[in-house]
Amino acid sequence: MRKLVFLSLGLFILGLLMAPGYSGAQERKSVKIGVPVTLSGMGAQVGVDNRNGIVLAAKHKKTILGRPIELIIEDEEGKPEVGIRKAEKLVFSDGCVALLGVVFSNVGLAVAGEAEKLKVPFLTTNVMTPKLYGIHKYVFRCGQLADDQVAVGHVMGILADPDLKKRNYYVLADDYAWGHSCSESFIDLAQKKGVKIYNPKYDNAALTVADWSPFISKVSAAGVDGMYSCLRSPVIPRFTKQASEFGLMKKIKIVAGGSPSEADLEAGGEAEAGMVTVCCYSWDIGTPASKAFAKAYWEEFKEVPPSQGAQAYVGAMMLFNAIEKAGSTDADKIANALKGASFNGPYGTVRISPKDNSMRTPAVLTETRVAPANPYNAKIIKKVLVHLQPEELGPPE
Amino acid sequence: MPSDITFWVQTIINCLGLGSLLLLIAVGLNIIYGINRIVNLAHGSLYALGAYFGYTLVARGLNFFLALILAPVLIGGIGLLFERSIIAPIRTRPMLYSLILTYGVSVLLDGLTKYFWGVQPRFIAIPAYLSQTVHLAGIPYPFYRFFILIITFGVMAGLMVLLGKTKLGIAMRAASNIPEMVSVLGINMNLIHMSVFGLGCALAGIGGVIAGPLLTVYPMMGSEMLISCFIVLVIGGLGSLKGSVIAALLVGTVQTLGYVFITDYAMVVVYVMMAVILSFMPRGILGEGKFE
Repeated sequence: MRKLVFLSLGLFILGLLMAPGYSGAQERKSVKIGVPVTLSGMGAQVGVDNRNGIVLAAKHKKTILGRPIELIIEDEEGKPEVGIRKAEKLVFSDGCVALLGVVFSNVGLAVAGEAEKLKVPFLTTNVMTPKLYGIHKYVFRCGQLADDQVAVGHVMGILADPDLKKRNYYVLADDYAWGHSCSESFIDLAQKKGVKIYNPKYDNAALTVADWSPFISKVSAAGVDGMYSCLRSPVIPRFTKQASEFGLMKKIKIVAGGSPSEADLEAGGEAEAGMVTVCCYSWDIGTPASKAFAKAYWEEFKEVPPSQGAQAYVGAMMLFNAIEKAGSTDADKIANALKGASFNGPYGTVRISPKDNSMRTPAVLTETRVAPANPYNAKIIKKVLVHLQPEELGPPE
Repeated sequence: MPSDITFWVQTIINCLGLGSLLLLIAVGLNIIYGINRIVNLAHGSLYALGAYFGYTLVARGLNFFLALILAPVLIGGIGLLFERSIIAPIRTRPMLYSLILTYGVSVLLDGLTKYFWGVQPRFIAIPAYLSQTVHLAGIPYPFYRFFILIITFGVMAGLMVLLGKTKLGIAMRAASNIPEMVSVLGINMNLIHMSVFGLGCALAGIGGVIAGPLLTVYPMMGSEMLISCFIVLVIGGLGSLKGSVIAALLVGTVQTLGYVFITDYAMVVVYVMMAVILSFMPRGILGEGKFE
């Protein structure tokens, strides 16, 4: 009888120790962050760059609230319906306290549309559509520049360069949400500032276009000497390679509305040289923080340090630090901590504006050139031409 | 509308170029259906695998033309394995079986391709003389696109000789129409089916190696091209090679002109064209049934 009493008491105490409410168990429990990114299909390389940047940030941060960080990565395939399904799975099945990532604007908008149902902070690291500004208290835009910021950067760059300023630009866009947003943002601002646009109603190209010869012939026949391209990153090397075979690249200067990923530039090789583009990060930025990031990225992944990777890294650190500041995984506390949050990273200080939950960031105007000898075996470098300040890029607060 | 002569000459050649590329890739699918009566949904994946094989062989130092021979042979070999292990056991079953199984194979091949080569787009390096720009009466045009026309012509000529002048080819055509008679005559039907399937897959491989330098080699290339191939087959008539030639040129022309004049709706026009043709000619331009 006595043995039975002692055994029961022991089991009771053991049960108390293992109960979820016990702080000892909680200290071992990880902080789960859901990472829906595109890992298949056309946007896969950009998705991989985003994922790698987030993974690197988690490795550097190590813990949040004294707990290990657990990234649960899902492939949203670049499709809105899959993005929603994966977001629901991450939140409701996996118990993620926040969502981080997403590549395409249409997926970002779809997931943001479910914010009220998901009830966790959602921080995008690559979505560019300005429609995300202030869309919901739990939705934040960080990482990649928004289309309006890119448009400002490009127009500033064009007006600052006499050669670019005198050109007449043909606008060609991928036929989906981001392509339309990118081209409309640029055309609207460019025309106000006096930049010549050949086709203000811009041409759309279906997402399945593989042979660009019809468009190349059309651009050539237009007699323009500039082109503003709102084409997805993986498409750009194909377009420029085909265009160079037609001799078009000798006649026009391409300004890329969507900054091509470093991996896609490497695929195209020297045919990719001569493009102007605005992005947050280039490994050509010579600051100690930039070099440290580039070195860490190279050592971890053995790939040329990409813009999208650095942008996702900054987004991830913003979120991790916000959770730390909130002192809790409560969604409202994290969201409040993200408003006005800032992080000093590879390309300077990035801040999330409390006005619209979107970042204000420095950026660089670059030109792709054949790279000099470098530690990353890169063939192409995004050579920094101009440093752009957050207040120049806006949007105004 | 552009009035520039350069634009129109380039556009006409663009139409021919796209049409010939579609034909090169679709013809293998058509042969497999025409003779074996199998709709091979893995054809696009085999085309992509051919491109990846071509990329890898050239990247390892093999001459482009040798890669153009070796990669299709490898794909043909994979096709033979595929036919013996998966297609042959279900040959007498309803078509749904082959549709589902070949779709499963395509998913498997796409996954393996992504696993071994990753997601980064790649270009197959070609000799410098193939990538130069030629000038026709002062009109610049990439020489490689003429090369595609030449290869497509050569492949079609070779197929005509094979199917029309060789015993194997005649047996293949006969097997398509009267398989029981062919079998009774002592011709090994298994060998015919294997040969046809392997040939069809090898043709997909040729298409992949040829398309790689132009369109880049990337994981989605197979599924995107497969849809276009089926459009060509359906418009031309399933099983009709002559129909495929006409349909490929028609689709190439409509798609190219669509991109020029109504960029947003170019593919809509292609699908509308397909619907109109099928409403008047339900079996396609040159009909279905006989393989010719």
